[in-house]
Amino acid sequence: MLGIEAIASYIPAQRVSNRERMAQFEVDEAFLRGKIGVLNRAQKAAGEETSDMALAALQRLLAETGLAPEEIQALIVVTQNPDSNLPHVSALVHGRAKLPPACAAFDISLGCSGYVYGLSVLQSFMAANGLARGVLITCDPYSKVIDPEDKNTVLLFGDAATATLLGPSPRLVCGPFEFGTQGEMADALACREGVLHMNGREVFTFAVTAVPKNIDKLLVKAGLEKDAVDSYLFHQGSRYIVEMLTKRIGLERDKVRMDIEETGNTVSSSIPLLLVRELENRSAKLLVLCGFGVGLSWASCVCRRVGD
Amino acid sequence: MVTSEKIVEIIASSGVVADMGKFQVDKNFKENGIDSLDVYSIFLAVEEQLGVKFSEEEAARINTVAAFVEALKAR
Repeated sequence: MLGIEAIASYIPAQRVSNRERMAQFEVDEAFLRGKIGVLNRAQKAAGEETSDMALAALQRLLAETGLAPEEIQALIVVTQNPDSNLPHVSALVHGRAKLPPACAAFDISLGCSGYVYGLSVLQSFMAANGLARGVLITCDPYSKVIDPEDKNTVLLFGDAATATLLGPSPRLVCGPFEFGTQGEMADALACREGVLHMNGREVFTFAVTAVPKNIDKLLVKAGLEKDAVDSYLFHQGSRYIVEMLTKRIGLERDKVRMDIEETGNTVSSSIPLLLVRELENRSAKLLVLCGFGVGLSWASCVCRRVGD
Repeated sequence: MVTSEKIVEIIASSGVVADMGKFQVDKNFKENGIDSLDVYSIFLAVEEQLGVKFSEEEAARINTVAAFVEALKAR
């Protein structure tokens, strides 16, 4: 049985304050804290590349688990902001981490739904090919594509990377999964000429209408009532979106995890950053993960704690 | 035809205004203390309750109850 054995993260040390932009963007601290939910954003160092961050997350995973590089048989990097169009970031990480030649390495192009998609892809790929250990990295530094004068995006996004080890001695087993896409809305969150553009109203409307239906469908598929779930880990789009999802799905507030204030929305890394802590919360036996964003796309899954 | 009273009723149902008694129909949303994210919720409530969808061009022009009524009348 394959599942999540460990998760490690790399969050750049540099923080950029949103408070310093309040006057320019005519917002106050109550709005930053209560609505956007972000006071400080993690930002990579100038010159720090996507592969540098991805490698840092992988190295922490290896250090924390004692796993040897040669034990990794598959490596996936979820990113839409690679070092360059080619080669793929996973190949760069593979080379620098000295992973074995027999290790498969490929990237997945997805944004905020990418972690849940990545879990399913890696788990399925490993099962289909008889692999024992694989690593899923998320790393999508939006500071590369954000216009620092765009109020819609600059107060929101932060940089981070995570590395999740899937293997035969899991602490969490993932499934079932549910996926979806509304490709006709792709322009609502897109890069044009290297700059991120976000139609905030369309993305908000999409999230608070598509996600509740998706969660309902997932719970039916899993044969679960929503109250049976101990922790809901939604993509940390903004505090406002997570609060609205909580309300519209009808969840108990203390079952919904939130951590965005000191990092910002870290795209595909936001769910695994929550999950790192949730791995240690042994009272959380049954979890739901749900990512949504670029595409516009969404993906959710149930995770069950095993062993402890 | 959708009236301004109906739009006010929908705004009240959206829950973004803490005290509807202080809501002034003749003022715009910002003047009523409604921030940009809560305006998204108002649009969502109007779209869901009236079964309509506003384009971005329309949405950019709507910042009052009267503007909602006008935009709906123009359809």
